[in-house]
Amino acid sequence: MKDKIFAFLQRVGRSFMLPIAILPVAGLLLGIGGSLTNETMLKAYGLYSVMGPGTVLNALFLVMNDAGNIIFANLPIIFAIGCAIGMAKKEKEVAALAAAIAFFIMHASIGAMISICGGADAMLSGAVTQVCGITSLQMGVFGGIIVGLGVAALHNRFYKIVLPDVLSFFGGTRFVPIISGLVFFVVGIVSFFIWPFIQQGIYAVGGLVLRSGYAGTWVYGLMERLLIPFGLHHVFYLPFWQTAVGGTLQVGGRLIEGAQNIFFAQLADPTVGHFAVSATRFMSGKFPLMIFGLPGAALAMYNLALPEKKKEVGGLLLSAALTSMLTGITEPIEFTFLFVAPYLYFIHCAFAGAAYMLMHMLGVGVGMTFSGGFIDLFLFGIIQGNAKTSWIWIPIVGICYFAVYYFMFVFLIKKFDLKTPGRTLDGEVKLYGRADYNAKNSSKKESAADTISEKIVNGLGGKANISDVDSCATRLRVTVRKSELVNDGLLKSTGASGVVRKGNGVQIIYGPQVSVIKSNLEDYLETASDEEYHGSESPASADAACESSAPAGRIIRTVVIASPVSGVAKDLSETPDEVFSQKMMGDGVLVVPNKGRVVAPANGTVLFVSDTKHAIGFRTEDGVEMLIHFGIDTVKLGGKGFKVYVSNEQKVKKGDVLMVADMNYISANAPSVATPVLCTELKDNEKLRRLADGNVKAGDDLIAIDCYEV
Amino acid sequence: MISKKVTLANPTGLHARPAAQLAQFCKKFPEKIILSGNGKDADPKSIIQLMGAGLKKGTELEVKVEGANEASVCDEVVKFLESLSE
Repeated sequence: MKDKIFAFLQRVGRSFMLPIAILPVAGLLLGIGGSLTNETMLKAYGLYSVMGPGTVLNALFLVMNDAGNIIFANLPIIFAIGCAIGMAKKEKEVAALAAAIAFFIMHASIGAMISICGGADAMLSGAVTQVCGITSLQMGVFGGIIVGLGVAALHNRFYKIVLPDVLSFFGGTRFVPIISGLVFFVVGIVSFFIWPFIQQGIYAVGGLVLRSGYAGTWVYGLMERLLIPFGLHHVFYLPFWQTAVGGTLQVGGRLIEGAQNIFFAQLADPTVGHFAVSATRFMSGKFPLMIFGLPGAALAMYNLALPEKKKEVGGLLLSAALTSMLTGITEPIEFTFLFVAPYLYFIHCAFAGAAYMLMHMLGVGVGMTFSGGFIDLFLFGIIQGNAKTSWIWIPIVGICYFAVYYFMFVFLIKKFDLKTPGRTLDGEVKLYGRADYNAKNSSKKESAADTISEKIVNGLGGKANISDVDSCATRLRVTVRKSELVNDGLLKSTGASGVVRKGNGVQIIYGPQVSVIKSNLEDYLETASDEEYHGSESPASADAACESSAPAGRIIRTVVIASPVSGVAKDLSETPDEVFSQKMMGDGVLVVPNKGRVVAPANGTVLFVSDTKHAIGFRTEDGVEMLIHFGIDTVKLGGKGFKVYVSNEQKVKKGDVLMVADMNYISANAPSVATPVLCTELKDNEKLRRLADGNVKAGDDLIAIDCYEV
Repeated sequence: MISKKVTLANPTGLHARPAAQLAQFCKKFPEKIILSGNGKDADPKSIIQLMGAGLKKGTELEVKVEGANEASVCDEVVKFLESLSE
């Protein structure tokens, strides 16, 4: 059970990597753009004329600010979609669409509930926000994750659902967005009632913090970090920064409310001797944490990554560390360990609280625009001078934090073997070597599914030879790079009823269980070694259950022939005439047509049209001689009811109309319209397989003829 | 090579069942057999050729056989054709 939860959290964490990858870029844009367009800041440094509103630089920074901000503003839906993609087992694109739909529906439902219940004004201040243009509850990234995980669970449960025939259009993957939308319609309504209680709890903590000195500062720092994963930290700290919750102070003769407002008022007031620590206690703690502590954690994770993954992980961690250091955006680092080791995040939160408390105790007065990166430290600490800010304590405490974080992470990751990035081999990039895989399998019990998948892969010429795997109702459709490496015999030994090859396309026919086989094969391919397979494993030794009636030897060629008519394909034995059902005329497939049009089943030559027009002899350009016998006992109609469009020895292309039968007349005057499509001249080393079952259109694959090595 | 003539007497001619029966019958013999009639030659071991020849009731056929037991095979084929009733 513990392993299960662990594995689940790991997958959740991995599924976060996709949306997280954009955060460093967005963070840099927002950090630089945001800091350098702050008018108070520009005025304070006399940069107003150079970078103030109306200048080209200002315009550039404004654009950067907005370009970065849009990502943070829409992080919830980005996480909803990214998380659904990461957690969906198959058909991930459907999960992505469903997540977007569910997200909109959930927030629209909440929005409607808000307006029904008195509008945004009736809610707690800070509780309501705009989500993708919808007035909804501030649920932050947490709201997105609820959607992502919920949709993925629904998707994995329902993406293969089979609905009754009438509703079959809505079955399978199409059902996923539908059920997701309905479920999150309900989730939205429920959230409207539940979420405010969660928010109220947060507000209550805020009140407590303000009344309790250094300890209160510690709790503030702890809570602020704890709420980040839920996207609730804004709800929590903004009152401190922007309202009387964070204190009031007389600055330059005016009463200023809110910690950040106080800081910026003092920044603009040249008479201030030292910035008010009572205000900056809610900000300064971020600096040692973000510039020093978290990069120490990143270095620890990098050093403990597997050697072969270091390069890949290094890029991720370095950019995450730089983002944190420069802009104070910490999610990229925090999310890398939050999900693999939640208790590590708790420890991190405790240290974060301590950082705020230390800054409070040491009287550090450095404020910030929105977060605690080096840019803000430089602008609001270093440039202001140590006398006004006591900023020097930040690097002093910071260096300690770096060391503490580094050694703490090294110790905990090693001790509990935490799977931080680069510590597992089954990541997105590195694949098992064949030796690794075999070693792993020899120690474990090799599952039957893997054995079959391995045979399929070998039969297809090895993983390196497989370019694409897909499936339809009954067959596995694979595109290979080199068709000569495909071993039909080996493929058949995996339980396939047939193998059809067309150029680089290989179709392996398994029947309805193909979806399971495909899933197993895809799982196997994820870890299989990327090489070609040239082995000569014979189908006989590979599996005794191999189709016994098949001629010995290898299939040297397979010819596929299309259905000449639209209708229902059946086994030839179901023909209501024993001369056909007993295969006296040769092997073939029965099609009960629902249209009278008969087309050429392949490129080839019309050998003859019988005088009574009911039967056509045909030779495909591959040399397969066929008889298409329209209806049973239709010879007795003497040619009535048939209109023929070709003559003897005429060359035709696949799909050309050969003749048209009057279905009404034939149904009325002959025992049956059942049309055996026969290959009358098969040689001993040729074996016919039926490719279609049930509805078939003229031109669809109907028959395969395997020619075996003699 | 030996040849004999026979007139096709069954109502549907060498169609479907008769053709299938004839082809199965003829396949037993290793000898080369040719059925001439209606101005065409057909290998009676091939259903498609038999059907393509369009041999109907009343057609005069020549059965030609070449091989080790050509005389007896020819007799058997002719006897088979005469016995067709469908």
